[in-house]
Amino acid sequence: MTDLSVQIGDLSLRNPILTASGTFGYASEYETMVDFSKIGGVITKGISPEPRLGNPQPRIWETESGLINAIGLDNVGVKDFELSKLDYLREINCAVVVNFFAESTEGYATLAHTLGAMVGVDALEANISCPNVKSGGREFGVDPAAAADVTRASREATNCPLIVKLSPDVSNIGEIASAVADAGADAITVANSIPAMAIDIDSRRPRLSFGRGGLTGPAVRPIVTRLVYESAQATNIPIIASGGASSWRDVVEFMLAGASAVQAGTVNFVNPRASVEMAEGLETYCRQNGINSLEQLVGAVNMP
Amino acid sequence: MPALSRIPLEAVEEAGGGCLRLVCAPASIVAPIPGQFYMVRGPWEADPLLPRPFSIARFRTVKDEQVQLEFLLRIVGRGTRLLGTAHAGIELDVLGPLGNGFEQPPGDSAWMVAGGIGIAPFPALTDAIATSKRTLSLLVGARTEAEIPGFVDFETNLTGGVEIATDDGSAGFAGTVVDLLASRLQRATEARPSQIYVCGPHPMLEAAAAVCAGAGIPCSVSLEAPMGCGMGTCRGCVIQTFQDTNFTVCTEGPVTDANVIWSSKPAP
Repeated sequence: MTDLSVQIGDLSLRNPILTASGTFGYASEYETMVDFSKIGGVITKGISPEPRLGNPQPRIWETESGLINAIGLDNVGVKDFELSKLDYLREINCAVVVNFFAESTEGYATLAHTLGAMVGVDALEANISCPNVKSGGREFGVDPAAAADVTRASREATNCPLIVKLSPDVSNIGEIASAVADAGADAITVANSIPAMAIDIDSRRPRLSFGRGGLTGPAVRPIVTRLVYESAQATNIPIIASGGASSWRDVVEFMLAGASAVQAGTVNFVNPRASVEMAEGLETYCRQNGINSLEQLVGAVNMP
Repeated sequence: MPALSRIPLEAVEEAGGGCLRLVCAPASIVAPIPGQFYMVRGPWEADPLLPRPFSIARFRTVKDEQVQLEFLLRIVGRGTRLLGTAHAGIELDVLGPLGNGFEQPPGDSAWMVAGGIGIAPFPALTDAIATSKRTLSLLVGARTEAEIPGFVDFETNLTGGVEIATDDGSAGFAGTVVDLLASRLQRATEARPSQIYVCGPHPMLEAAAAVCAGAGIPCSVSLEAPMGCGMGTCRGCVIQTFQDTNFTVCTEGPVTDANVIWSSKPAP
């Protein structure tokens, strides 16, 4: 039996498959579809200090092998999260990671403290990289010093394992990865959606009400594979790949590039059972290839 | 509870007005409620990526308690083109039944108002209401005669009759189907319906809801929105109500009372 377990700081995962924030709701939505005991963990929709309605229609637009979204961080807010979502998450048989964001460094620290103290929350994922709101997130993710400040403030506010979700829209992701690691992050998620745009040539208006959006899905995977590789060269903390993984083959590819865990995101919309199928496929691959520990795969790409 | 099933496609048939009927093979699945929908995806790789939402157009229970689903579609993009030109025998991933469906009308008669392909959920609703011996009428609109969707084969149960509206006046009432609705409500000879059901594009629903509110008749709408998941998680279909609250079309709809979305009070 291959050991697929992964350790990320104090967070233990039975296998490296997590569901990506914004693609899996608050987990209860998939109760009839997904056996949670077959995946490593779930990552919730991003939680903010106050509830947010998000952007007007249209919010999503499909492109070739990809999806552009500008949802605008529609979420229930931290109070309702604790009241109406947490009880269910406490009962599910996998790790629970809560994604969160705020509009200031102090806001991140306060929210990290509040969420980190909730029983049933196994880790936090700080979103410093959403492209779809006017403030709150991305400006922290594109500057190494700001990214480090938010990470440090969140780190000092909680003992809960802290993952920081980076922006792909930077010229040197290694620099940000290293700054965030030095500031105390237990792991980094590489990466958020890729800023993108689509235009209706008849109306000459953007396809999304927000104008721009973030591209996800299989179309972005090669870009994210490169970002994972570059991040792995720059830091020793675990990397969680997020960007277009749709099958166990993609999981193996991300691990070879340097990821310790992999998020299933947009693929949940294509096939709600994808996360379980990815975990099962990875197990079979390891067994058939004599891989006893995932450490044999992580970063094992043979670069020319 | 929704389920993900792999069901062979039995046939794709012309349904008139540029619409196609997608008939699935009988499968061991639960029967839907008219107005509910499914996310449907063919056996392709990553493009087109997402499944497409379709209201259940018709369903029947066949031997061994198997349920046969039927969808009505119009080719509007890559996803519907692939489905509409698919060969019998390909396997479809069918997720559902999803969302909330229609309720039976509170009184003896009801009208259904369809804008174009918005006719899709009404054959199933007709079947469900016909068994209860109520009088049912269909008002259907299109830009022009050639785009009037086929009535599939449910006319026999439309005991209150069918009226057509075309924007260009090429068939039936000249004007939109909402204009037809307003005009028919003012006809002294028509009995007032106890319920009006409306399905079509968003602006048409809003206009029809205003007409129904003005007439004081309950209006049930089937909303349309771009959907990624059908399960409430992608948040792509969320619209804002007149009370500035979010309404998740896939899980709180697609069928809802119109006064949940638009104020039933006349504009000041």
